[in-house]
Amino acid sequence: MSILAVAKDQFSDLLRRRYLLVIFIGALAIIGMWVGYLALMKSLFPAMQQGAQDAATKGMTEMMIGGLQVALHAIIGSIGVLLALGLMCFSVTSEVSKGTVRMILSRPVRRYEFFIGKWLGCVCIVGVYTLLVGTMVCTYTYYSFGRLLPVIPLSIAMLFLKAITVGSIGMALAMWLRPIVALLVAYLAAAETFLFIAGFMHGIAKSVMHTLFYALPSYKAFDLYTGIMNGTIMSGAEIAYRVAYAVLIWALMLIAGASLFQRRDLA
Amino acid sequence: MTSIIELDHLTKSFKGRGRKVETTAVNDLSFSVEQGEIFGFLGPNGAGKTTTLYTLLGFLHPSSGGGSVFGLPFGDPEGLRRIGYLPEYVNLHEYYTPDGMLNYYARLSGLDPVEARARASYVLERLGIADVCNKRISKFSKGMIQRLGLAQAVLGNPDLLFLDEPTSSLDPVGRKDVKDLLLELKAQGKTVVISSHILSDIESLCDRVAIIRKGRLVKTGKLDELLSTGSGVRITTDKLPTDAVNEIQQLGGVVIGSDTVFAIELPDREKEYDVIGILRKHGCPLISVAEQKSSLEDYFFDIMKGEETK
Ligand SMILES: Nc1ncnc2c1ncn2[C@@H]1O[C@H](COP(=O)(O)OP(=O)(O)O)[C@@H](O)[C@H]1O
Ligand SMILES: [Mg+2]
Repeated sequence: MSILAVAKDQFSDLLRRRYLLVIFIGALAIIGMWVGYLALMKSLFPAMQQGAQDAATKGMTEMMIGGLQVALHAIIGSIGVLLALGLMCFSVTSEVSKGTVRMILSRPVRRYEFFIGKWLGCVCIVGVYTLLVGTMVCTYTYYSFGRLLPVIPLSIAMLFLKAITVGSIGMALAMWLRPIVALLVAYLAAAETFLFIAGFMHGIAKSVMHTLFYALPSYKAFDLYTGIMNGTIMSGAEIAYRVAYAVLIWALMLIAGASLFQRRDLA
Repeated sequence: MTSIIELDHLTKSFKGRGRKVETTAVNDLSFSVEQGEIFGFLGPNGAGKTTTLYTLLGFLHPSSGGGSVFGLPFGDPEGLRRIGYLPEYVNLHEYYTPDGMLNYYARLSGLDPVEARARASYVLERLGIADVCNKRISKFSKGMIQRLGLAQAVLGNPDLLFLDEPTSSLDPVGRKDVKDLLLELKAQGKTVVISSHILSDIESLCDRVAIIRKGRLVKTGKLDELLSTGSGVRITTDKLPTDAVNEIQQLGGVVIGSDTVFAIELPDREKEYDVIGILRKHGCPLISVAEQKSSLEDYFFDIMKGEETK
């Protein structure tokens, strides 16, 4: 009960924030511009029209459209991740620094309930973002290509999982580091970052980076760029694996974050 | 009498960050609060009052020692259910109206929604903020926020109330309202712990007090007992011949007065009857004999001075 009360408070508080409105409108504007850009390309290069017969042209066209779609998903995905990170890293810590947390915790609310409630409120906001952006992208794809490839909504759903995953890591880290540092660390703590760094290293440093690559959560697992390029969709098992992977990280981060919060002095 | 709060050698230190040294805000503090009393928690700024209350509510973890509230560990939700808390600085989510805020706190307290709504309007009425209950809190004055904080504290009809410097940001009318409310709660058998550095606010209210300084307990006890220790007697009469004055002065009394009213002050009660005997011998009427209490304020300063020279 308390969890839901805190979540509802967090959700409605955030909905009132002006910066959130700016982010939402900004994301929608980016999609709008992208759609306009694609339409412009099509009119400039008639080969991109649906009716193109020649196989080579058709292949080229699909690659271009695919590439643009991937870029679009990457942008709205990054906005989603940063949104989740920003909300989650500051959700609990801002109540601590403002002192409102003590008013709330003087009620019979356990600290983990407060923590999970805050998390849930942020998840709902990211959910609203995903729904808004997802609806717009799907609608546009449908009208533009006459059909909706299943990979598009799936990719949007995966972006949501990714955003919540990165955000949850940031939220747990923010119980230990300064929120802004937690945000940066969580953003960069993706396994792929260390695979990339390992490329520049030798010897022990390289093995350390590789170890980190295997130890840290993968954010890339949630990007379906090849799927969008090829129009292919993952198997049900692969989807289930990713969902389970995300939920596992969420659970671990909630446990870690709530226990760090429990041990904290709220003065 | 049952103890509602037990403090057992409670110590709380804050680790120094960087160049800051460690501060011991509460140092080996032990006392108890009984059911149904208004307990004054006194001390100058920085004495450790807020830190102690934070620990009792479970916001801070004790460095050593501990205690219990309602026989439960500090911060236990079952205990908190029966506690109302008014912080020193009332920080409310500013986007709420009083109605919305009390609704949120009622949900957090697990109160029945229908009962909570009735109780909320009663409490807002009682504290004189019913007419602004649909206005955003961000537009409230400090005094109104304080009242709203108090409304939140008494919303769940708690058995134990913690008030941290409750009158500091209220105007005189507000102070009187708070006093009336506290006396009403006391009449209902509730327990109130009220911290303050403004002594005159507490003096007329408290049954018992604990005085702390630099995190240590200086004194605890019933207010009348604390104040009657070392206080003298004041005898007044409207006639005092010079002979009588001399005799009284020989006993160590101090005579103040004009030709219509005379006051005789004695440092203790030992010679009280000797002086009354002298007055009778000279046929001087007794107008009053009164114990001369020092005010809590005097007492407080005496204690602080004594501590200072230690
Ligand atoms: N979070 C904190 N970190 C470090 N020192 C603190 C903290 N909170 C309080 N203190 C110190 O503890 C002492 C007691 O403070 P406090 O309990 O607020 O006193 P009071 O409420 O009696 O005015 C002060 O010296 C204060 O500086
Ligand atoms: Mg204080």
